[in-house]
Amino acid sequence: MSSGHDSELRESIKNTMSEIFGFSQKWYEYLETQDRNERISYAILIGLMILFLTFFSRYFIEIVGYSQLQVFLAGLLLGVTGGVASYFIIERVQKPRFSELSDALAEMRRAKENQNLLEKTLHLIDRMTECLPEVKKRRREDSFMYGVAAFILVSFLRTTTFPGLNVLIGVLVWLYFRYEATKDYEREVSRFEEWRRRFEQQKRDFVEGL
Amino acid sequence: MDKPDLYVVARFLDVLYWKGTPMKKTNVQTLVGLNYPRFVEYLEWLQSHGLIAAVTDEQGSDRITLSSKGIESYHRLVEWIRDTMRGIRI
Repeated sequence: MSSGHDSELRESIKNTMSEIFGFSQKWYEYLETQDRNERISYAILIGLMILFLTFFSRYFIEIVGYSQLQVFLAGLLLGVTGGVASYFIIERVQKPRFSELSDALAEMRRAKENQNLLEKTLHLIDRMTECLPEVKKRRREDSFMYGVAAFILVSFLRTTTFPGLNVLIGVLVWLYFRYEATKDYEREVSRFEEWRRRFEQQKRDFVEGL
Repeated sequence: MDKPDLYVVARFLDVLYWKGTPMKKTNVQTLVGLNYPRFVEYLEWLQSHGLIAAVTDEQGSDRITLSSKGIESYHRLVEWIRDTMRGIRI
């Protein structure tokens, strides 16, 4: 295998392997971004809840000598601090959800030629297909956050005409997004299952075709 | 062997493809990380399917190398993996 043609083939294989690695890298980056966005969303939500609780506590606790603006600013300060703190706390506490995938990717990164790169890639595909339903499932859980956000937003509009409207809107928003996300989740999960079955079948076919 | 594991077959093809020259069985066994009986089983399977060929070097020792069918299979496997990766959508 020392002719020019062979070296061209090897070069083409190397390019294909880099392409495969590029796919996996992009995939993992997407999951990491999802994780970060989720932490940011939770932090914003916690910040807003602190602001909401501080601002509305003046209806229940008599805060003497402070204007409405001062209470709002104090709530804002507490909310921002709480939001930022919760971002870092979640980051520390949260278990790495895609550790198997990141391990498989790290293995691939470390692997060089002749170090079972194909097998490592196949394992990586396995890990990727395993965590696909998890990615979708998390989108379904986001609907609760939309509900809470809607509740807080409506509360700030101070609709005293209809007491409990904020709760009603929050619940409706939550249910709507939950319904849509569940529909999407079920559709996507069956698509992944089908894809996974095809992948397993193709593996068997490949061995039989050898 | 009825149904070999594709991942192990890929391991053999990878090792032999990138080495490029005929290898001693012991070296292949070390690189594919199989115990001896399992290694022999796979070796026999690969030989019976024409994916590898046994050669004898100048010193008279047995070596194994990828056959042209083995090289072609390796290329097919790489292409298939690439197409599979392309097919994964989030």
